[in-house]
Amino acid sequence: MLAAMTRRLAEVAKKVGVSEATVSRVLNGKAGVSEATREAVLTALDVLGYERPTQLRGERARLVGLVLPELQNPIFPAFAEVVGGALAQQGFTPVLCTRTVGGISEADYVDLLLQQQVSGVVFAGGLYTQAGVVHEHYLRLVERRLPTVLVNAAAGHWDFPRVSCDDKIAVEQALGHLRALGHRRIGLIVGPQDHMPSVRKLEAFRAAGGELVEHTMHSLEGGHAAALRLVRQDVTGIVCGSDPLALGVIRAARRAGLRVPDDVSVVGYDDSALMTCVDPPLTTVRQPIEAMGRAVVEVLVGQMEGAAVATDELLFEPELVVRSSTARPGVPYAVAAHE
Amino acid sequence: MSEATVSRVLNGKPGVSDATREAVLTALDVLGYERPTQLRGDRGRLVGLVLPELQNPIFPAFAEVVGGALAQQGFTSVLCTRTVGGVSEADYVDLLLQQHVSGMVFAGGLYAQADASHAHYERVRERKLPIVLVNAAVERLGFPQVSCDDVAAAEIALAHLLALGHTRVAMLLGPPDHVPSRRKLAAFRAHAAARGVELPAEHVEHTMFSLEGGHAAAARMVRHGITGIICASDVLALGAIRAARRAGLSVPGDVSVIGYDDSALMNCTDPPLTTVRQPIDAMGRAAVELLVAQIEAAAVPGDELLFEPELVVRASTAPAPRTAA
Repeated sequence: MLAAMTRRLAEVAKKVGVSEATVSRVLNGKAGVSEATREAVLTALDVLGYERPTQLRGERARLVGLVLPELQNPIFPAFAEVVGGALAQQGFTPVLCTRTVGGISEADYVDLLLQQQVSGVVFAGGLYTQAGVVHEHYLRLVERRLPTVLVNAAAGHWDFPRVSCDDKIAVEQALGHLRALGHRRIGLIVGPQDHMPSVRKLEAFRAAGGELVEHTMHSLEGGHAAALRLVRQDVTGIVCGSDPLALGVIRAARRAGLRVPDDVSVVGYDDSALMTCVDPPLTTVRQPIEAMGRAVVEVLVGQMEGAAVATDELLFEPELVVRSSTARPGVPYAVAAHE
Repeated sequence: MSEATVSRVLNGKPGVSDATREAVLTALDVLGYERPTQLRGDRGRLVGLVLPELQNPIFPAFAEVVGGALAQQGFTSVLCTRTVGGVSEADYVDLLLQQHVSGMVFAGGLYAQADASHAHYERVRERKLPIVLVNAAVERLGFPQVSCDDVAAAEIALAHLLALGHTRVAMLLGPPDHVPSRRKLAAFRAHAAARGVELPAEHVEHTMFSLEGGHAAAARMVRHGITGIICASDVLALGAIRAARRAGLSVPGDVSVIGYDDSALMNCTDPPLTTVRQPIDAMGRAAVELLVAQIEAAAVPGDELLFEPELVVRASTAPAPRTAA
């Protein structure tokens, strides 16, 4: 500690062109130093980034904020671990911020992270994906030129680098799988209408000839409610915008007296370790979060080093993981009238 | 840009455009330099929440409870989780101190492991920083603690299995120095003794807190004819179920499995998991109350508040098979 302090004293002294004793006098508020010299020493301190007036702490740990919309869907904790690990390997410290009900908004988190002097920010699946919402806080990041990466967003008018899983391919894979099994009446359940990844999945579904679509909240309960509407329309296969939605669909199907996959096949989206333990083990489309996380950190670090970073969207191809929630369509079922 | 301009910014002097000012400050941040104190401005009050991992759904769930309770009190939480080969708990403590947090909550961390180093906790105590520990007790540090009652948890689980007629029962626990696991084991043995139940020789296994760890340990148990397994976490329980099935046994037909923690997903598992639920809403609110009291400089006793868990019976437990292996 003493050696470090001595080194810094020397550094400041050299920069200003005075003796170390003079620097020390300034730092200790002692007399015998001209005003001009005092100012020069303090300025040198500032420029070198040392805290005034006496503690010479030097460089801080470099923080990177990781802002998530929630932690219930296991994909978000999993993604946090991937990005956190990759950041740590590069010498950064990740700090997670998640929106909580009645808590601070994403805009406030931006303020907070800026106050906390972060070196960069990663936003995953947040408000910026919802097209109708005001995005003024992102403007602030742009103005400050703070390294920022968006994950699974398509807020195209911002010049932030983006990393996304290809929603179009995800739907094509899920739909292709169900059609290959022989399904003809297939439904899609996605998130709210202004959630960009949901919009992309919807567009891909329609482009592939799909017609039956339900929007709902991103939760098990949301999936449950939406599924009831679809089974009334005699679908035999349902593609979901997330795994929690798929689990809600399975629950709804069973409540309606239907078997999964015998009567209704269900495909999720995201994947996580726990999806092998559910009943039935969930067929789903896996987001390649390891590759995406590494790309996020590479792009972020590139920005910090001042490299010109492409502001294109990097699209990552998902993969279909076939487990036990899909099968050939069974004998057409009739949903009980009171459902 | 000239050094004089930079200096003007750092000293809050006029003559610099807002845009330039912001750019300079941001550059400082990005490069990791300390901002001069007078430029820090009014900060939101931050509380660090340090967790060992996020894979077990109980930790994200707890983070949401604590985050919400803190938000209601006007604080913002930042989560710090240990990653393999990444930032350690001790590093996070240093970091949070540098970031001038108002307090810290540690849930299930190293202090939960009796043999781990606790030097970083000493540092925090010296600074008199408000701290609350959740689910383990490093008694000598005098921090207020909030815990789920491991004794009650073990008793509830064992009573359930005994009521179902199981006699060959075992505990599947975390690492040997994991304090909550130790407490559960002691209670398990005491309760069995009090009921006159003789425990089989293979009545305890220790493992890492993971699905694979649970699988490996439970595989040994079922080979020894254990019919009822009490696990120290839901994730261990899911591993145990897998092990039983790999051994050609059915759950709960041949082997009953009870977890610990509970979360929304445990309703969706195969089979839906019978488990002992930690009352994380009450525990989280209590932890935040204790923390805020300390922040407001009230004296807070370094007691351990115990919260009672409850048994949630789903479909992974059933009467003991007629003919034990």
